[in-house]
Amino acid sequence: MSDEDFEPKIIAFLCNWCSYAGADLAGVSREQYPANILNIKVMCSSRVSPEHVLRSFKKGADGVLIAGCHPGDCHYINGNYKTIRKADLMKKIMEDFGIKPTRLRLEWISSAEGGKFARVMEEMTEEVKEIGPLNLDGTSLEDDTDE
Amino acid sequence: MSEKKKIGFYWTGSCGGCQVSILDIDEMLLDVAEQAEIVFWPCAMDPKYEDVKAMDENEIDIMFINGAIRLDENKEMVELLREKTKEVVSYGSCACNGGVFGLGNLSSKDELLEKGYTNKTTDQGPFPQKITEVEEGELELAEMLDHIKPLDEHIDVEYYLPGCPPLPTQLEDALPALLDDEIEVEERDLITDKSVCDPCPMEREEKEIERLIPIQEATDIDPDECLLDQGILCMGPATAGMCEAPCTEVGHPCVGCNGPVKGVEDQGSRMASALASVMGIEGEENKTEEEVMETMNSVRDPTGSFYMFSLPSSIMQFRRDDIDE
Repeated sequence: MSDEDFEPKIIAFLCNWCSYAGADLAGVSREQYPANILNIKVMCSSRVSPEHVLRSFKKGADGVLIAGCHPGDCHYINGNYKTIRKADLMKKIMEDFGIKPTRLRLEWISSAEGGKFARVMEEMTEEVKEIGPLNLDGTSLEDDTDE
Repeated sequence: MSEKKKIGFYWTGSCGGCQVSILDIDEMLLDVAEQAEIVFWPCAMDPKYEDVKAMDENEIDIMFINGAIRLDENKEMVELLREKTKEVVSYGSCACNGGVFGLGNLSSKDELLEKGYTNKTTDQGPFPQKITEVEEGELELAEMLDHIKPLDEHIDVEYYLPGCPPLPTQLEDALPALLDDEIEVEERDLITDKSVCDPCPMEREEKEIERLIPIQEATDIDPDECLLDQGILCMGPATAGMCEAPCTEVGHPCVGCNGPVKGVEDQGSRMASALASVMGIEGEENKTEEEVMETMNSVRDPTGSFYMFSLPSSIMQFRRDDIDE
């Protein structure tokens, strides 16, 4: 997609204990990152179900980021291992539904990594810009005329 | 007793199992015949399109429609039946959620026709077309629609009764309630909010599953232990349990035919979540991300298995063109 003016919409699901605190730190340390990201706090990255991801795309998101504690650091012992497996299934399902699996990204950001948070957000925005818009908003079967 | 209710059964793109399921209620059919008059049932009687067209508006009290809407003829017919009917019951999984036919939404219409009619393994017959010229004139065929949609995307539906097909036990509850005006039934009352695991008699031990085994390769299945625990993909956790788990009871994994439990939109997502949570390898903490992910490679065809009966009513509904472009 060569559309230079395209500003992607990215939904970031951040876990309460590490990644959201990381985002906080990025803010406190005045790190700059693109305004394309919409942060949503969840208690654990494994709380994010494929339902949330698919619905984000369906409602107009161009990319989805799931960020949690580093493996081994999960506040709920092994939540992020479940996230790894879930993300793998999600990518396979997305591919079957004809959506580029690269639109979904999994990252580990601890509460001390404000800089990493800003960097990941920047990278992700660039990546999704490269991939181009998804434009699924308002494309349910309801609007499908079929004739 | 008040006047007999007029009921009807119609099939669109269906395997016929739903029609048989009505006969499956055995002698209860006599009770139904006492309370209701069957005015339309193409499978058992011989009504014509014109007969339905000649009916008054709202002449039929309850119409059970099963099957997927695959052809424009199906769509036309259900729209006509809607006009002639007071209450429509979306009967069976195809009408409620798109059913097995719904998996066709993962391919385009052209891909499906090509696969079906120019497949190298079968004789190459004529490609279906809307109008065919013959000596006597023109012949018209029904045309395939782009996507399968659940019945309620085409017409308004009063009740949902999923199942592939709905079981006699479900009908024993549903039919008297639907036929009796005194009993109030809400739109989705005939779907339970409990999953198949709830009535399932197998014992669950909450152990982690290292890898899934395809059912055809599972040689010694313990009849008392949870199938998921044994590494066999069972859709039980994500499927509505009106059926009382007859399949798992005899050692066959649930395939998810009832669709999602009441209040859930996307059955496949629920199953993916559930499966990701119960899978795991020992000593995970010392493994790399790739090694953890590798355990998921034993899940064969996740989309096809998780959405086998409910793809058109899921969130994504059909294949998008993000990759193909």
